[in-house]
Amino acid sequence: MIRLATISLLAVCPHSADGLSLSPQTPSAAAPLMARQPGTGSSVTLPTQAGAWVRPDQGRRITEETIFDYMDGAGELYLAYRFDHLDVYLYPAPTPSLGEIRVELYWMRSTDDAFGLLSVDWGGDAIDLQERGVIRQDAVPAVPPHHALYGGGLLRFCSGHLYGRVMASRESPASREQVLAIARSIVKGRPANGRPPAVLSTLPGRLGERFVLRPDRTCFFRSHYVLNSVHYVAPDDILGLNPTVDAVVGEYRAPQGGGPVRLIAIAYHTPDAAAAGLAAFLKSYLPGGGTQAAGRPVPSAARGEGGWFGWAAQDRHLAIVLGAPREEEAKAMAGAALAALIRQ
Amino acid sequence: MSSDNEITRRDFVRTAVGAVVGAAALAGGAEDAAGGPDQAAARPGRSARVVIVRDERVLNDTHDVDTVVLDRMLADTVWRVTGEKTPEAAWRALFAPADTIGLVPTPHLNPTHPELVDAVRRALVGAGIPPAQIREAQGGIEKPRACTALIAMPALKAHWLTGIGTVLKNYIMYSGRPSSYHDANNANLGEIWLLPDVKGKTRLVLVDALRPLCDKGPQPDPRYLWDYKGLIASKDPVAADAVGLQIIMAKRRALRGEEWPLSPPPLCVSAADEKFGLGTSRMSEITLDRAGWPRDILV
Repeated sequence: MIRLATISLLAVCPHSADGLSLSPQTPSAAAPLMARQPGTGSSVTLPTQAGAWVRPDQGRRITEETIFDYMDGAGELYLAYRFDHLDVYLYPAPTPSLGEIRVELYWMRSTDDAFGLLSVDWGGDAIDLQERGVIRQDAVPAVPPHHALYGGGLLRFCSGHLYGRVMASRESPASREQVLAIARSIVKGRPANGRPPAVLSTLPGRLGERFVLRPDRTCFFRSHYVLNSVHYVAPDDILGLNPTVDAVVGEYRAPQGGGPVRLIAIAYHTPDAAAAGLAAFLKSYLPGGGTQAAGRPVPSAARGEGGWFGWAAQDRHLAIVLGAPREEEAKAMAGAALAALIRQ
Repeated sequence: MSSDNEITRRDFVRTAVGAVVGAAALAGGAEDAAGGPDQAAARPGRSARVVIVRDERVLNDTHDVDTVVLDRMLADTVWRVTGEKTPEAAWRALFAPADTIGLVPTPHLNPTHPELVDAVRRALVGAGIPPAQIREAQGGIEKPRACTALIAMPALKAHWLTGIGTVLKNYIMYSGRPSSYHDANNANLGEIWLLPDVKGKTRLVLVDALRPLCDKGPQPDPRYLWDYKGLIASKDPVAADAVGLQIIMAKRRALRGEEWPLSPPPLCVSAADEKFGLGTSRMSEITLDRAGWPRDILV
């Protein structure tokens, strides 16, 4: 239950669609000017005070050009999705021992991009920020039905085009309460999240007879940086990923134990891009045999680290299975995954 | 490749950084350059010493540093690294009053505790180093250029673009092109330690393992921070990184209850040994000196 009584003043964070800097506003000027985002019709409202934590200013705008000044060594993650800009707000407490609360609002160019950022890590406790419950028709079995996750003082959430991080530098029951209150204020009045990226619906719940999808390991991505951070595939971008690509990696386990099987399903923008992705993948995974392998009937398979890998491609779609226990399973899994991908 | 029709991550290692590292990786055991500490057999005449000093009281429940305890841990650490009879003698064995000493903490992701930087500064002054000759040296290449000696002071952490982001990565800004060391190119981080303004200047590696970060980030997620309450130190930067890697891998296993490889693989540790000759990455060649709080030491 949101405790709005603890939020003494509601100030509004005006930002414009063209990335103009935030205009100064005093706490007393609490008239509800909403933040409009490109194409979203969305808005956010930030309290100026949350319990003991008070926001003294209007925050800071971070763009693609300045993101590395703000987070050296981390900006790549956001640029790997379709990043528009970031707004940062700090809530220091009068007593330093309470620490500060930092609010980061990442405005992405699509809801899929905001969702992708959340899907990089499904760990933490699920939080229902809008208190509307899970909307069944929008849930897909490939991922957990959560839009907000909390752990260790950090709340991560997606809301439409917005991916948010609200973090207390010192976790306590009081800071947790205010982190959630701030986040609820941000998403209040925003539309409920719709369906996750369409490519997720193509991920089979099972691969073969034995392997069952682990939804908490599913990640939507567009960049090899993100793919490699989830499961290392190759040193370079051998799959030809870019912002026009919708891709998902899923992990499957057999209840009896043993190593995981992973499925990478990619919807490229064009058939040529899919063919190039497969060719480059096979060239890397089958040195010396990649050219011939690309001409094999699909699905096909070859022996690799931790088992067999299989592949299947058609039109603008590519499915790759890694770690299958047998050749025939690798082929069948890749074929089934491709069929599901094509039905998208 | 392992067979005519099979490729492994180790092959990628070979592709990425050359045959030397690939061969080393292939010689390894269950874990190696593909994501964990190098368990290969010891080589004749190769050895390193790494000290781990821990104290349960150095952090309180809200992770605040007790500077008195930290000072004591630091004294114990440097004394053990050098084998001198007192901490003051240990510092004097490492540095001369004429040295200009650069302290190189890590400012990002999981930053080095400022209390540790202050403790080192106090200890150096106490050992007779003029305060004006002690400076922070993180940043551009002009920083180490102005120093005659360096203390690498990273915090222990995994990193989403380089696998591990601790000792070998600590000098990445000296390169002037940090993004060129991402992904498998992290294998080349060791070359930065051979730049003319850097080479041979690091007299002590002191890893802040008070509260390490065991998952990749890119921004710190408190769920992956934990109170290890330790300092790790060595004169060998590669050995210090190898031990840190062992601790991170053990923590990741403990969290998930299964193998949880770092991704991208932290190739830099093996490569710093095999390709750049900066020290030893093989656990079999490292003598560990453990002192203090033994619980969950993980190595």
